[in-house]
Amino acid sequence: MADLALQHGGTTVVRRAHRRPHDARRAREQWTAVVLSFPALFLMFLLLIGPVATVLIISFTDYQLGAPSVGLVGLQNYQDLFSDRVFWKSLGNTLRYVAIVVPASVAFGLAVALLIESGEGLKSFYRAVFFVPVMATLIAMAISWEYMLHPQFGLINLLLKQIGLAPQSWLTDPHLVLPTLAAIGIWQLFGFNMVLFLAGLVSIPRHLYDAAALDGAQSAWSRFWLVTWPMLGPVTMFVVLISAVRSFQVFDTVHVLTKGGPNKASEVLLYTMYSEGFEFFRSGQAAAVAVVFLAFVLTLTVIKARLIEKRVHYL
Amino acid sequence: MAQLAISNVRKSFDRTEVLRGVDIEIEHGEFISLVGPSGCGKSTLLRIVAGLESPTGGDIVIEERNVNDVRASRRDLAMVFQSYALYPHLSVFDNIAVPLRMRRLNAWQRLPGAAWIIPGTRGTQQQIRTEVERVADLLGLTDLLGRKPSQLSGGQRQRVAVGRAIVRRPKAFLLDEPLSNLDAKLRVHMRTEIAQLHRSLGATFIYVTHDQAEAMTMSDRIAVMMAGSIVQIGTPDEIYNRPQDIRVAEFIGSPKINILPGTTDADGRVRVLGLSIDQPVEAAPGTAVQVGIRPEAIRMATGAEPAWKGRVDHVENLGSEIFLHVAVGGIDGPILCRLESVEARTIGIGSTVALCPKTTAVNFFDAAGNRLAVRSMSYLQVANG
Repeated sequence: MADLALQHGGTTVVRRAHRRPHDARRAREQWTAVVLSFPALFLMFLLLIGPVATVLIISFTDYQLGAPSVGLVGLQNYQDLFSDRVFWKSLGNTLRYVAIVVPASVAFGLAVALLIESGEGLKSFYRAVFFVPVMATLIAMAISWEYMLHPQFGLINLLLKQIGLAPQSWLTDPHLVLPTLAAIGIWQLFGFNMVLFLAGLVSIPRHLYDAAALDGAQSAWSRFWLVTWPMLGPVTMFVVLISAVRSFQVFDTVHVLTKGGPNKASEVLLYTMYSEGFEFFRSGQAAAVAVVFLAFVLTLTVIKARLIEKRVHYL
Repeated sequence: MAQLAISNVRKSFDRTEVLRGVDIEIEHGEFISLVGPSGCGKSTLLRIVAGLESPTGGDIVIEERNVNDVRASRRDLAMVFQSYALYPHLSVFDNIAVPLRMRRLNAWQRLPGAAWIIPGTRGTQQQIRTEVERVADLLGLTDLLGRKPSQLSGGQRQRVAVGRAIVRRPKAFLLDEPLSNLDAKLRVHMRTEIAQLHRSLGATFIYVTHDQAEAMTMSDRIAVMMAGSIVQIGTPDEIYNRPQDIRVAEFIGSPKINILPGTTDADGRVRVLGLSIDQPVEAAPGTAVQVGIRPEAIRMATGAEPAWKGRVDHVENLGSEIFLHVAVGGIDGPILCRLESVEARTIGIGSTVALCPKTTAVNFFDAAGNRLAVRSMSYLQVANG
C-alpha cells in the first residue's frame, strides 16, 4: 500500500510539472467518459434509482391510486404503519419465514450438493431434477401445491392417512400455514443453492483433500471440517445472503394459496404492500411498506458486499 | 530388510498403462529420487505409495507390512506436494499443527472451546504448540506463524509445507516436485536445505522430480523412470557415468550427452565418424553401435593425432567453462564439447577444431539402446599402450 501511495504521489508531482497540455487532455477524457457512461446512467435512473426515489416520495404523501390530488403528509404513513397491528404481524411473519427458509434451504442445498458430488453416476440427472423448482413458474407450482395440500383429497393428507397419521389442514391452520409456506419456499430455493454449492465444491483444489488424507483426516466428517466447509466459506456467505434476500421477497405462494390468511397468520411484507396498494388503493401506505422492505434488503446487500470483499476471501 | 518395498506395481487408467511393473527397495534413512520425463508415471507411483491411488497390481510393503489396503491417513507417511497444498484458511501455525491435531485429538476435542470442557485437551494442545514452535524454529518460520499462506512468498510456503510434513515423525517423507514452483536461484538454495534436512532427520525420503540436477545433487540413489518402468537404479555416480540404457544417458546430464553412430570392426573396436575408439566392446564385427560421449569427455586433439575435424557453430560461455557446438561431417546435429575457459579463449565461431574422445569415458549402446559391455581392462591397457 505504501508503495502504491508513493507511486501515486510521484505521478501527481509529474503531472503538476507540465500542467497545461495535460489538463486539457484530461478534461477531454473526462468529458468522453461522461458521454460514454450516459446510456448506462440514464437506464439506471430510469429503471432503478428513479422508481426507488418515486416510492420514497409517495411514502410521504396521501396519494391514492387514481386520485386526482396529492398532498404531503410527512411521516403520517409511517406513523400509521408502525401503529398498525397487521404491519407488525406481517413483519414478524416475514422474519419467521426467513428464519426457517434460509438455514433449511442452505443446509439442504449443501447436503444435496455434497451427495451429488460424491456420487459416481447420474450427476447431471440429479442436478437437473433438483433445479427444476427454481426454473418452474412459482404461480403454477403453487397451484399444484394447493391440490397436494388440499385437506380432503390432497396427496399429502392421503399419504398421512395411509401411514396412520392424522390429516392436517395445512393452509387453514394458523399454526401450520407459515411452516407450510416455508416448506414450499425451501423446495423452491434449495436447488438454486445446490447449484452454487456444486460450483463451489468443484473449485476446491483436489490436492487439499490429498493433504488432509496424509495429515490423518480419516473420516468424511473430519475432511468436511478441515477442507470442504472452510473452502466453501465465500460461497456459503453468498448463498446465505441471496437466500435471505429471496425469502424476504416471498409473495407468489402467499397470494395464490392463502391471501395472508387465516386471520393474517401468513401475512408477509410484500403481500401487505400489495393489498394496501392494489386492494385498498392506499398507495402512500403501500409505499411506506415498500420502503421498510427496501431497508431490509439493502441492509443485507450492504452486509454481503462488505463481507464478501473483506473477510471470506482466502486467495 | 528394506524399510519400504515397491514390488511389481502396475497401474492403468482406463486403457492407458501408466506403470508397468515397478520394483524398488528403499533402505531406512535413504534419500531416493524418482526421476524421469513428465508423464513417465513417477508422480503416480508416489501417490500409490502414499495411498492416494490404489495400484492395479503389485504390493507396497512398509516395514514388512503390506499396506495395499491401508488408507493414506493410516500409513504414517508425510508428503510435500508440488502445489504445497496448504490450507488457505489456516495460519502457518495451524497448518503445521494439523497433522498433530488430527492424530492426537479426537473429533470432539478439535471443536473450538473443547479445552474448557474435555479433560486432557489442554495438555495435548500445549504439547502440540511446543512441537509446532520447535519445527517453526528449525525452519525459520517463527515470525510467520500468525500469517495466512496467501501472505507468504513461494519459498516460505514451501517451508511451511515441509514443516507440516516433519512436525510428526512419519516412517518416510514423500516429496512430489517440491521445488518446481520456485525460481531458479531459490531452487538451488532449497536443494541444499532439503539435503541438510534429510541428514539431520535421518529419515527416509522419496523425492520425485523431472529435474535431473535435483536428483543428482541430493540423492543417495536415483531411480530413472521411462514410460512406466524403471530403467536404472543406482547412485548418482553410476547413473551418470555408467548408464545402462541410452535413454538414461540422454536424460541425465546437462547439456545432453553426444550420441554418435558407430560400427564395430573385426577386433570389436568401434569406428565413429572415421575415428577408431580404442576400447573393444562385446559385439560381433560389423554391429551398429550408438556411442555416447559426454561433452566433458571430449578434448581438443593434439598434434597429428587422428581426430574429428569440424567447424564451430556456436559458443556457450558460462564463465568457468565453455561449450562448443561443432558441426562435423556425417551427423546431423553438432558435437558438444566442454572446455575450460582458458583452453577455448582463442576459439571463435567459424573456426575449425580437431576433437577426440577421452577413451575411458565413452559409453556404448546397441541398436536397441542397451549398454554394451567393454572387454576386459587388461586387454584395453595393452591396446592403449
